[in-house]
Amino acid sequence: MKVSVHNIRIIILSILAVSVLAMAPAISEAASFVPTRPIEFVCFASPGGGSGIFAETVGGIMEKEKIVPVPMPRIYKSGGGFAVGMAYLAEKKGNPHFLGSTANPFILTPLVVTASGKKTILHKDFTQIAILAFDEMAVVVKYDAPYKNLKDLIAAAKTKAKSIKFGGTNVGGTDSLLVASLAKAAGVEFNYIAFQGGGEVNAALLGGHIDAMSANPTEMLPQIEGKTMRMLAVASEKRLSGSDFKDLPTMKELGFNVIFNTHRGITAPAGISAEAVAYYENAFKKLSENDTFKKYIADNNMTPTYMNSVQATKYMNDFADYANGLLKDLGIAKK
Amino acid sequence: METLQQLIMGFHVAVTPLNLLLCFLGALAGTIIGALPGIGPSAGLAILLPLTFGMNPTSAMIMMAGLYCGAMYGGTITSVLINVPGESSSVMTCLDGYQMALQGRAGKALGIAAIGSFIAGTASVVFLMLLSIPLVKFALSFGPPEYFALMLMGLCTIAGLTGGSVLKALVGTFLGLLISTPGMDAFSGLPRLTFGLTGLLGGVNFLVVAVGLFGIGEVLYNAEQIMKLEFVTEKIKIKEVWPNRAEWRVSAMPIIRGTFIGFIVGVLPGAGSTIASFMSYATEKRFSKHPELFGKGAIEGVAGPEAANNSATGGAMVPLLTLGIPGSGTTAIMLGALMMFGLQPGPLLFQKNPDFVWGVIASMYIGNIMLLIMNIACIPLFVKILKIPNALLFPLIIVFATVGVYSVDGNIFDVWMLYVFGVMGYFMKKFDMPPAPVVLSVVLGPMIERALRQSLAMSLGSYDIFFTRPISAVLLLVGLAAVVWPVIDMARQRYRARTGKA
Repeated sequence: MKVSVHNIRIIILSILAVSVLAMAPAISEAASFVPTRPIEFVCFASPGGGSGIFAETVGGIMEKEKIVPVPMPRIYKSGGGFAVGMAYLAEKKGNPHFLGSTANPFILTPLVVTASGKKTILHKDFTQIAILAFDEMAVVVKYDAPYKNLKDLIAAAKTKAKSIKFGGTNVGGTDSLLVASLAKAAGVEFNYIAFQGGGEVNAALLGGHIDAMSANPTEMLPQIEGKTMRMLAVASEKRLSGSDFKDLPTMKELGFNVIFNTHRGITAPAGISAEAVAYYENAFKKLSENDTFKKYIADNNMTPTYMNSVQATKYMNDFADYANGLLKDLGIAKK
Repeated sequence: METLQQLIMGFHVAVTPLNLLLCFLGALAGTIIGALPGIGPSAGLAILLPLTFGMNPTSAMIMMAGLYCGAMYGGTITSVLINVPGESSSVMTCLDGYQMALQGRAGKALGIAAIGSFIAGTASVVFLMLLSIPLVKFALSFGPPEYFALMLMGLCTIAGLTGGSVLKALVGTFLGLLISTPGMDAFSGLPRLTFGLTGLLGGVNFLVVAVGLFGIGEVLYNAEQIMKLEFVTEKIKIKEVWPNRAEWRVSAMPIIRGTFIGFIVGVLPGAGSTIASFMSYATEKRFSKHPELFGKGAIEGVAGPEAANNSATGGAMVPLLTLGIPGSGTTAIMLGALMMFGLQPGPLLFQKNPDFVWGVIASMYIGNIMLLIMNIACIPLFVKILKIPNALLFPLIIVFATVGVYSVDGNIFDVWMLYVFGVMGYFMKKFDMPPAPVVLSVVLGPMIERALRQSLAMSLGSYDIFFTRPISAVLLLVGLAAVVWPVIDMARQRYRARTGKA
């Protein structure tokens, strides 16, 4: 068969026409993004802990209340203090059908790895979508310990450097930074002892092997009621709203200017479109106004908030600067 | 009497058709999950967790307890049949269980494991009921120095565990310690020996090492042999699964000792069922009249550790239910689940939610009975796996191991490491180096390091802390005896041989 120039022109034109038609949905999608495939919601920690419960609750409500029109399966990629999951999500560059749930290690782990002189994926390598709440932290001692309030504990720490054994999770993690903040504000030096996880710290405190620990106030409530532990102060801006905590002072009102907590937020891979960011900002705004979500926040005595993409990014950058200073105090980052 | 009354109330809660069904489903899922390498009880619970959200907390917990017990039974199956430990606490079962399978006694091995598990599992629930309060006090007295002494004692006994060359076992132990070094160092907060690899930040997962060295190593080694790996496979009837009188005699004491060891170690937060099964094996070998048979298909080498790892499940529930403190990864997930249901696990749980606590305890009795029947009935079916021709079985084991290891964290890096350890296992087998010391010191290494550094941080650097605390001092002495005793024994035998000649 002879192919004339005319025929070729027709073929090219028809190919062009077909491709324009094929691109049309893509163009309209870019104008206003709506997820068309299930959204993989990556949790960087294992299920069952604070981060796991947050991801499960958020994903569950998003699906049930049809805030997103597609399923939002929770994918757990734990290990390496968030690093494994962050590496996984970072690979999905530009793909708006992946989201991640963030907390402090999202910022802290990369800081610590960077401090050791290695390159790693930072929180800045993602598109922040929102911050939805803050999980507060408290200082807890054994019920029959000689320290009945925070001033007792600080006074004891002042008599001899490193005389108070403070337990928590890994150095460079949220617990250790809270302790560093408090030490700085009170002008004392604690003996910080790192444990594998919250369970081990609790056991060590109850066994009298350490003097104090930092913990999530709600998780410790049963121990307070059972008179096995005593909560001394919370590192939040204002007193916690729950009725169980109305007598629990903040560190600030006791004269120690320490506000330290862990954020609960949503992130996405780098390079997703502005429309996708706007879509998700709006979706998570709806979530933050949802009654089931509000109840979860209240039940866990978290501080509710809503920060959009820009605010969340600024919050995280500021937090990273502040934490870096504390890491220097802890001797991790170089001064 | 009060306890009995409450237990009857518990049975009242557990014996509703729905709860019985959930207990059965949990046990069944647990058995399957336990048999899959990689997905252990904690990952299994995590997968199951979303399914339980619509249920009331008691039903959900009954299902989870069933799964936890089931996983301990299931882990045995692959350890015995294909030398792939289904989960970490079944590693010790590989040593003698697989040898028994090679000798055509797979049914017997699985049978004694199921029976030992049943006895220990049931006994541990009785202990959980009666001894929770005094035991939890004892468990709390274990601080970092005591854990250090306990783990060091374990490390000292490794070399004597596997028979053969002590030097090879020592090399294996140190190799294992080395493998356990990379990861995020909790004390300096900095990554250590990770070579910039994200996959190493979390450390080397112990299961990757175990499945690689045992399972893949075995496959590679056998694939190289020209002669076929001969399993003696006669048709097995249920009657032959049941141990005979002689087997009962040698297994009874190991099961009883395993039950006690497992329960006590299980209660300690931070020890767990792997350590329990390992300590039971070490104990049995020491007490045995014929330690040379261990590693060559000794039935008590299966009975003891299997009893211990099941008994540890009941033990691990003690700190969870009485204090609200998880004693293992699995109970940590249960704790999270309880909080999701709005229950507050803590010191008041027994008073505030008695129907919940006693319902769960009663369902653990029922779960153990279900598992015994289910396992014994299925053994002839499981053993048929060995009839698969090697040309099919070997690739299947590799696929099985790969999928299992990938499912731990969904991390492809783990799969590559699995193959590296598989090749290493092949060479170790060629040079007649036992894999167990490597695997055990990978488990013990990080624990021992953490406990040592925590202790020294507590004492501000003074080593006195290990000798001035009574429990720690006693454990260290036992560890010392474990090292020194074989030397004395050897000297004595030489002396006797000499005087005998003279």
